[in-house]
Amino acid sequence: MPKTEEGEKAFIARAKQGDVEAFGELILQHEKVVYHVTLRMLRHEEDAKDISQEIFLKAFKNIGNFDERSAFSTWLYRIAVNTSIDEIRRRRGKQTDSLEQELESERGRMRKQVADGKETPEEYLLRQEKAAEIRQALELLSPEHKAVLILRDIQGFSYEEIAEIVELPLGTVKSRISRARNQCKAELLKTGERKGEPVRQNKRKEGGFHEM
Amino acid sequence: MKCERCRDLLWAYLEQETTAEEAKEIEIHLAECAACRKEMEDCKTMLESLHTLSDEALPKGYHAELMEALREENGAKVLPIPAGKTTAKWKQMSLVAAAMLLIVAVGGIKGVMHLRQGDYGVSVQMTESADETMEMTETITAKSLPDAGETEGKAAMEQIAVPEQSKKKTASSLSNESDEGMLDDAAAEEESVAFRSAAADEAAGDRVVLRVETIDAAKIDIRECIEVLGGAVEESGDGNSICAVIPAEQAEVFYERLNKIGDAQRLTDFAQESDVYCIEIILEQK
Repeated sequence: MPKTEEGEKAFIARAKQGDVEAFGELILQHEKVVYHVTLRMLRHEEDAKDISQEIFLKAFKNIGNFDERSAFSTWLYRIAVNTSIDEIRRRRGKQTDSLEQELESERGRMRKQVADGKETPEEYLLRQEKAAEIRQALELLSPEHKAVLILRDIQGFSYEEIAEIVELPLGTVKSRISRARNQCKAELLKTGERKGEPVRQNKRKEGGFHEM
Repeated sequence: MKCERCRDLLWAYLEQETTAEEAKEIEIHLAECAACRKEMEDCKTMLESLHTLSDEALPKGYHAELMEALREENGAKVLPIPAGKTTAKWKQMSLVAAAMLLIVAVGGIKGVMHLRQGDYGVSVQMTESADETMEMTETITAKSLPDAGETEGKAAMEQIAVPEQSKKKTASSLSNESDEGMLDDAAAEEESVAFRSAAADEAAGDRVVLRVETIDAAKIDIRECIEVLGGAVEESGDGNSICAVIPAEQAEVFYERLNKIGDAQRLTDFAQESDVYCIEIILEQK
């Protein structure tokens, strides 16, 4: 894997000549981020895997057009974000996936964490609920707002990096993120109100059971 | 400070992006305004929930599958090979050997690491003898790696212990192939020897057999480990071994980590006279 900037340049040059293995080395350290952004944009693991691999294929096909004015990673993430946004748009209106399916895969992952002993079942339940709520709230944002929120608050990119990825002025990115957060927060509050503190209700029920 | 202004600055405040002065004003306001305090708590909770969504591993075998798709994509772009164009086998082989010699001479360790990439390029040009050429390449690569540090030359090379399970060609299989034509030609033989000694000078290599539960999962772990130790990775064509280039001072640490991934067994003794160690990890299913 290229460690220095010079090393990366050499790998990019080789990839531009059609060297798949060099391209493989270039993307190795970015696979997780690309997959992850795609997963949060598209929700399902299967979709995320397919689309993220499509993103890498697209990048390989187009690496000749990469002008190297930005970092390779920035260029790659730009393709990832744009492809995910397009995919969401393309699917709108013909939504075939079920929320249940998504929840199931998320549960499977979380269960594994419990099995690994990383957290207690109580922590797991709480986290599962919170994660489901926040993912639902994310769904109500426009794909562009969702993208910057994912980049900033899930992936932890700086505002400057995000501005470069989405090719927008810094000020626009900041206000877009702020708007996305406010909308997301409002949705979360609505969900909280709708559910009316279900955790407490459950406890009461359990208590009643034990008294009998 | 007014509530409206406070709320405008809340996100920036939580990210510590406000000026010290603004932060102070916000804190004063929060101390006396319950509504804004609640608002700030909500914001904080949301950011924390978002952070929890960040811990996600790649699906198993992700990289391998992706590379497969990329190679396929790339293969589709290669021009079709003109039919009926075959020459004497050994000539092709000596060409390959000469090409490899050049790569090694020019590229040193990197050259050896990329030999296997080289053979993709070469083999697509070949027709019927492509398979054999690949075998040759592999044999020479396999032989050149463990041989490092030895100056005895050929005699020493033939004593290298190669595990049966590794399915790599041994010295004896090389002579079998030689019988088919290689040995007849002195030049080819010379080239081959020159290649081997050049490789031995440039790239010192050790070998480790690693027995694991699942090869794909182990590969991911090994890659991560190499990455953490500041090394580089090269996967072999057959997918059952990984070549690592590791800074010399990290070689022992690397071996220890391998032992956590599976049952590691050294085939060579990790005594390379170089700043970087080439280590081939041969993966085996438990």
